[in-house]
Amino acid sequence: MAFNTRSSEDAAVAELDGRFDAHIAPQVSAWIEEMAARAPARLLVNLSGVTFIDSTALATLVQGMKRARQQGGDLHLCCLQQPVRIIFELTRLDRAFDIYLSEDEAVTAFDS
Amino acid sequence: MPYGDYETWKTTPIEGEPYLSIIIPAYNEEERIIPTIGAIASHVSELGFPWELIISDDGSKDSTVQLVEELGFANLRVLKPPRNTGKGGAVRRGMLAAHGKYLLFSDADNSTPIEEVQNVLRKLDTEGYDVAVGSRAALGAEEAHRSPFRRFLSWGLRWIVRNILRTGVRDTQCGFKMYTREAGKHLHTVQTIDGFAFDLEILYLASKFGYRVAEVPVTWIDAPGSKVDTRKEVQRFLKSLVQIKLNDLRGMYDKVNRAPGMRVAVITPYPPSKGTLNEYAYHFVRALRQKREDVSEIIILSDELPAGEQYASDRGGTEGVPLRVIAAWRFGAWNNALRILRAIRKTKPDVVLFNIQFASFGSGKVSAVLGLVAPGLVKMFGYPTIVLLHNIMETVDLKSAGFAKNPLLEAIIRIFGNIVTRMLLKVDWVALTIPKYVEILEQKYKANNVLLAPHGSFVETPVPSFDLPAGPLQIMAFGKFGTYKKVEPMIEAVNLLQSNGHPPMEVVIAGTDSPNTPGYLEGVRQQYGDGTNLRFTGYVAEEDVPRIFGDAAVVVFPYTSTTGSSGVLHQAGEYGKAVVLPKIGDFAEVISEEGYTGEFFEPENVQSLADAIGRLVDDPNRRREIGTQNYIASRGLPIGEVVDWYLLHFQEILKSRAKR
Repeated sequence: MAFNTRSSEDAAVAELDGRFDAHIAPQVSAWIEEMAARAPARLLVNLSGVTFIDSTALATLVQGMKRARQQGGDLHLCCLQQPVRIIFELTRLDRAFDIYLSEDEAVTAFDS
Repeated sequence: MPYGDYETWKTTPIEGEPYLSIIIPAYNEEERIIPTIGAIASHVSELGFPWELIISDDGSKDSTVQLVEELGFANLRVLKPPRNTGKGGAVRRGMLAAHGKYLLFSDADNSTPIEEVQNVLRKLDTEGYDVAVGSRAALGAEEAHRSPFRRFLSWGLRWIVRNILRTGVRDTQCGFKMYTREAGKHLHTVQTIDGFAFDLEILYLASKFGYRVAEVPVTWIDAPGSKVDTRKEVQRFLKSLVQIKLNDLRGMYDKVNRAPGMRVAVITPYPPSKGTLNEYAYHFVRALRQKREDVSEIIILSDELPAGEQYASDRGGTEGVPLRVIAAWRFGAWNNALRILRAIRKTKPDVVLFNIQFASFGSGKVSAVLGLVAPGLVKMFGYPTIVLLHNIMETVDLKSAGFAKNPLLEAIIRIFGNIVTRMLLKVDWVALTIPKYVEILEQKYKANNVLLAPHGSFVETPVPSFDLPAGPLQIMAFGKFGTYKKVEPMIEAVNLLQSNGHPPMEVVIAGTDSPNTPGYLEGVRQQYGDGTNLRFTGYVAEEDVPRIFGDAAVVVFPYTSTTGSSGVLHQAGEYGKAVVLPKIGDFAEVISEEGYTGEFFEPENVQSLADAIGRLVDDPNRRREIGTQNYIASRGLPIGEVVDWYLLHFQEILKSRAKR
């Protein structure tokens, strides 16, 4: 499992790789907490390398989205592989999140 | 397109036998099960072969079952046992219910990623192994997030297993194991341990019976939230080790291994007998005959046929396991229980199933009650016995069913009904087809040996065409008439509609008199005439059933009360028919619980019935809509799977007896 982050003027981006589960969720949660405190809170989680996401990870993302919105910002997701997209569909979270096909689209959408 | 593969798997039932069955044992997995199902469904659907997914619940107290059922996937089944048994029990139930050529069980937390499935499958379908176990100890395996303590523990346990049980497998506990169907069914039938250490027993047995076992290195992620208490797990593990050794020394595995399949006796009216439930018996036995791995012979003890008629037996072959039909009792006789017992003692089956309802053995009160002594008697003589009871006394309207003409008589019959029910409850299991019945017997009789066994659908019919033959619309009722199925209101309702300018209709009465009301239909014929818009088909032979249902525009249930789940409703569903149903408690429950729908009428009210039929006759779209929904509902659970449940319970009874 790899977890890398980067920041630009447009957004704070987290990139995950492998299995997004309870082992990595606390690190992601801490990153969200830190980034959400900055204004404007524009958080993007790039899931292009993620092959499986468990319920703890999903809960972390939901919390993250709520936190970002409380701060007047948002949390976007992008680049979901098929298994992860299906897990979002089955848990109906695809309706809760703004999900984009690419990082560019996800970043641009913060301004729309 | 891969996503399309997943969509197809999700919505379209596979045809024929699955190549792979994946079984996930689940106990209180509401948080973890959906992502795991998503990952598996996404990955396996892309592999290009037909497959099924079985969630074998283990009596979860949370919403696991509900969440999975709500997915509504066409190729996903949920097994719901009456109580919690342990992971081994859940895996066993899943394995025995699976239809795949290869059978995989995988843990609910996806701790071995499903991407490993091809590596394991290759060992079986390419390299010819019988069993392939995912292994964290094999060369090349990767264990992530495993604590040093757990690694040390694993090493210690592996050492013990290797030296005491002498199996070549180094990692016995990894929750990712695949078998050929033959090996999987055999090993899990012999299995005696229902707890966590069942893996150990399975691998011990695989080695004992000479199956070829491959150990395949897999990635394994120790999922947080694992439900395993390490200290308890080790204690149980060591205890199981001793138990396995003892079982083997006592010859228990040899005993079970020597029995290739059960000899099953079924006490039921069976075609060409026209007794009630003959149709159900026919379909049940047809499915039972396909269970070659579990059943070696079926002996049907049916009622005597009229002079000149004979039952056909079959020595087996393409039709399935051998079948013998013996005329062992006579409808209406007082000595049926003794005759049945005698036949059982003579044929010596391993297990006995009664397919009955309260009036199976006679239309008179004495013969009916005396016949119902049979199940308890058979059990008393040591035969594992299950009664499939299609109705219960508590919900039968005795007056409408033709059994009680005044309140005093009804009260007396109810007292006898209680006694008879208590006698029936002396058998190993009483299976009921409606949840409400289970509830009543559990509450009123404090019974703990009742179980819900769905009715099941009879035939794998193709998607109905909804085309109707030219000519008048056929308004059909199917069954055995005269007691609580009265056709007069239906004939009058159709006559009423005809005089009000609705499309031309023909009333089709398909079936015979109920054994309790001989001459009823002849009386109706005399009253209404056998005119152009009224047709009596007489007894409907099995091969004519598709045509009778196929030609009907509307199937009417002209019932004044019900005595159980309706086989006719299931059939109407299979042929995609719109139905008209009485507003009666039981029926409404069957419909809502099983997904059926229809137009309703007040029992015995001609105007109300005419209105209900009229709504369907006038509106082909509404007919099609209801027909489609009923078709989908009828596909719920094929009778072959219902049969699996009975076999499973018989196996468990036999196993618990073997332990004694």
